[in-house]
Amino acid sequence: MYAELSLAALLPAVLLVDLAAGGRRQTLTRAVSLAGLALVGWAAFEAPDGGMFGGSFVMDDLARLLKLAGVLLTGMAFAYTPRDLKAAGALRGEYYLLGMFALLGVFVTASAGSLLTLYLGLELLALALYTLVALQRDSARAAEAAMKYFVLGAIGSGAMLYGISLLYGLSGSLLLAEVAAQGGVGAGSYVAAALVLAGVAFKLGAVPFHQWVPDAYQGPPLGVAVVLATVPKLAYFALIVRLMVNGLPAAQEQWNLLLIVMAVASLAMGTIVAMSQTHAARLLAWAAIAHVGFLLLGVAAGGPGGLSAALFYTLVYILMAAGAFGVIIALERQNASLDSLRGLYRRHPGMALTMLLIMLSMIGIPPLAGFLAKWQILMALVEQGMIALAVVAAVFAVVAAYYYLRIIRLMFMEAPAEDGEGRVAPGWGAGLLLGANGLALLVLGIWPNVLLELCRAAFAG
Amino acid sequence: MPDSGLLSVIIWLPVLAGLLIAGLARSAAAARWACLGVSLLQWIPGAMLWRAFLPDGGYQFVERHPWIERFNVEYYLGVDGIALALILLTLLLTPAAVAAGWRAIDRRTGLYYGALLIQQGLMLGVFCSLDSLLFYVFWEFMLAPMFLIIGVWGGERRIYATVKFFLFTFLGSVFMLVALVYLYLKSGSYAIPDLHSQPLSLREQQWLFFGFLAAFAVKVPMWPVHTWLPDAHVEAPTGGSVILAAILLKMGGFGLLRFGLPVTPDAAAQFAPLVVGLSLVAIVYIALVALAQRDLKKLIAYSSVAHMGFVTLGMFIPLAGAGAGDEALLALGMGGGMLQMISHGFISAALFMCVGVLYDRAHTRQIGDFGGVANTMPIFAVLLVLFALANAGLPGTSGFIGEFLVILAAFRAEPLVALGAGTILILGAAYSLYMIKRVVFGEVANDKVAALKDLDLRELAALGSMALLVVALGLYPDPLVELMEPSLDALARQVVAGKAGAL
Repeated sequence: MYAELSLAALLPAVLLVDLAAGGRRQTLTRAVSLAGLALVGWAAFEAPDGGMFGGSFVMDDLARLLKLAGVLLTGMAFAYTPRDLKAAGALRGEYYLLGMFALLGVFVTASAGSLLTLYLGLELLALALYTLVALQRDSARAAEAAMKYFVLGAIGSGAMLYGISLLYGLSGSLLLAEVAAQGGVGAGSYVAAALVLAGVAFKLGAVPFHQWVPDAYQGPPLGVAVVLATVPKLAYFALIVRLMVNGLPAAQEQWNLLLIVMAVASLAMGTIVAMSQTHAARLLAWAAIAHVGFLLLGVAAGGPGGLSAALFYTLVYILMAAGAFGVIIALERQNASLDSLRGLYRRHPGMALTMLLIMLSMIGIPPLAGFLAKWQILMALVEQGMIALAVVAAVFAVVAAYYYLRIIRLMFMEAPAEDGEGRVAPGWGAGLLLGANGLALLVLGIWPNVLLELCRAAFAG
Repeated sequence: MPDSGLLSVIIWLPVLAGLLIAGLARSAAAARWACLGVSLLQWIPGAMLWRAFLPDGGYQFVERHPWIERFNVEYYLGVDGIALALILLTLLLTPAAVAAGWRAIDRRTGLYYGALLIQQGLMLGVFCSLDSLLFYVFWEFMLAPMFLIIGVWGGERRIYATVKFFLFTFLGSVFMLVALVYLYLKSGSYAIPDLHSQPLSLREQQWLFFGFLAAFAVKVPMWPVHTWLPDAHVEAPTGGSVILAAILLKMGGFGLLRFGLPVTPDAAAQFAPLVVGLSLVAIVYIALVALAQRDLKKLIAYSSVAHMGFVTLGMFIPLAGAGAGDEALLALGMGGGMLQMISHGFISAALFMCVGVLYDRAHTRQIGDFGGVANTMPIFAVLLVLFALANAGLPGTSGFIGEFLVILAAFRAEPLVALGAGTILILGAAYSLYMIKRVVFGEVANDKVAALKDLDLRELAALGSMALLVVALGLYPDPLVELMEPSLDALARQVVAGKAGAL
């Protein structure tokens, strides 16, 4: 709980610092935010296991891992983004403030032990994200993206809330443990499960609830998109585990079928549509839909094996997504079309090699971490006898290679565009961090044991 | 045998050196010489391996450490005679590949030579792996440097070719991955010896066999999944073509010997007629296709597909016909396939280097643009004729032995098939000789040919050593045969014994 409290205390502090000293560069605000995040991360690491408020708030291995990843990713996003936001005219203290509000939402969701805390965390996260997307207030595209995201997100939240109210009505309790114990099998619980699942799918951006994703990634500045693409996924993973897997075990057979259908549809649609994209953020958005499909297959496989594989996949995916956005941000193009990657190897070999590692990892080439993530999902599927699904997932991974290869091709095999000779200077801090981000994928691939066991431990109970 | 670490050295030395060259080499000359130096330095551990190896049919130089403990994946290396033969081939050919790109590669040399060395290390890793997941790691990661080599330094349609190469191979491999995962869940281990001894029902074997076949048939490549090869070869720089034809293709055959045959022996026997049929199509149809080519590189690429058809024919014909269940025959056929692979490694590498020599001078690969090259490049002409004849299977060259053994095995198993395959050898001679006639002999065709200069010292050294190897292997293949024989016998015993009966 100290982690949440210190994060909540950090928010007004950052606000005050920003009011007092927030110049145009926002260096101090960022520094205070990062230092505060480090403290919050330490508090989350040290937090003992246990429950509070009668079980509404739980701290366990899963929550701890998700919170630490959230702190790390938020910090990385803050480090990658200032130049981009500045160019977009959106570099204000609110960015850091909203980013940390979102993180608080992730924290609460990750530790949620009751329907109420779960929803509270999710909405805290969602509100912060809606506002972040609209941060560039004079941009029509950002406003459109925010509107779309808000309206569709509200529908998703509504569906989930309705499902949650049904669950409460059926079980007479808000505590997830009691919901799970009393949630019988019957029409009511199936409807509730379907509604909740629809809400989850909205949040994650799984087909057929994915329409907001490409716009929400493309509309706002990239500095916002990188937050949107990474940190919230942690909360959504907690949501699906706590609400669906732990909260609705009785109806699992029913919702698992829906989940598989959505997962395969996401894989297919995300992969196929991504092939024709020309805008980097849009491509990553559709690719994210495909990755969500892969991840959901791990959840569908279930059991400690499937869930820990899905958790591993989530963590590795957000690391890859953060790096990919980071490189594109470093290119300093307001219109981040794929062409801005042309000839990157000649312009900045370090960035190109970093991106190469990230793309190979996204494809799932061993020994990068992305391979281990996909491999574990395949193992979980085969273990459950879902061999056909494993084959389908593997084939879509091959199809997906096409658009990642296109990025590698643009960077290494094409000459820079006419106006693309411009300098690429990520700044040494962000540059080093990006390089570390790329190398982390290799290191995690070669020495995966620690992360793997952490993911396992989260589902040991 | 103590854990000598030699295998780790030959795998990781080139990888590390490659990373250093890619990162640090400031001038083209430094990159080249460093790359050549490392690839020659690799001969020392290679020679130590060869000397210390005891051909007893088992795995040697074993290194075994836990890697991903949760899933029982190990860093598990070791070689038998089959793997060692291919390792020696790789070590011998890499300097030739380096020399082939000496002048032709003029931009981003550091990255090129770095990628080449990394490629070598990863290929050696494939041959050394005794853990199937480790094998898969090397097998897949190998795609990345080759993707760059073709895509950055290739010809006009290089991007199409390299993406096709990547996607074809990747698609085949993921089926293997699913098969390996299934085997792990069944046996609790990724170690290859454990997979060899894991009993499996016939039905399981059938599925698994196709999983493996998907991966290895693409790599071999077998008809009809060979179409990436001509594209990749034509567009790749000479050094890339050499690596591709001489070593990369051999991994398909190696994979069949490591996984396809011993892990799923009953299914392999059951589907042997299918594989034999595909091999025959490759031998006949692709040879005809080769006859019609106008581009020298395409011709050699198609001839590679036809030759690799002999390899798969040799491995599977003993299982298909009347001789099924005969261990000695299977060992003979597999041995023929192995010799054919090694020999084809040298010959195809040499032929691609010959094309590279012509292309560096005349900047064309069209057969029609040449004629009477013998008049201006006599030394080159002698070597090219030698390699072309070896390619056609001339007795006394290495090309003869492999084909002869394969046909011998085929004759004992199915005389009709042998008759067909043997007759088709004429086709091989036809396209080789027809190419020679048009390129080497006759009057000097045009000014370009008249201006050609004969080989310089570097080219002579590279091609001359290839010629020596081709002839030496043709006249005295015994050391190679002795190296592989015990391993092949052991493998044949294992395959013939089958495993469905154990259930």
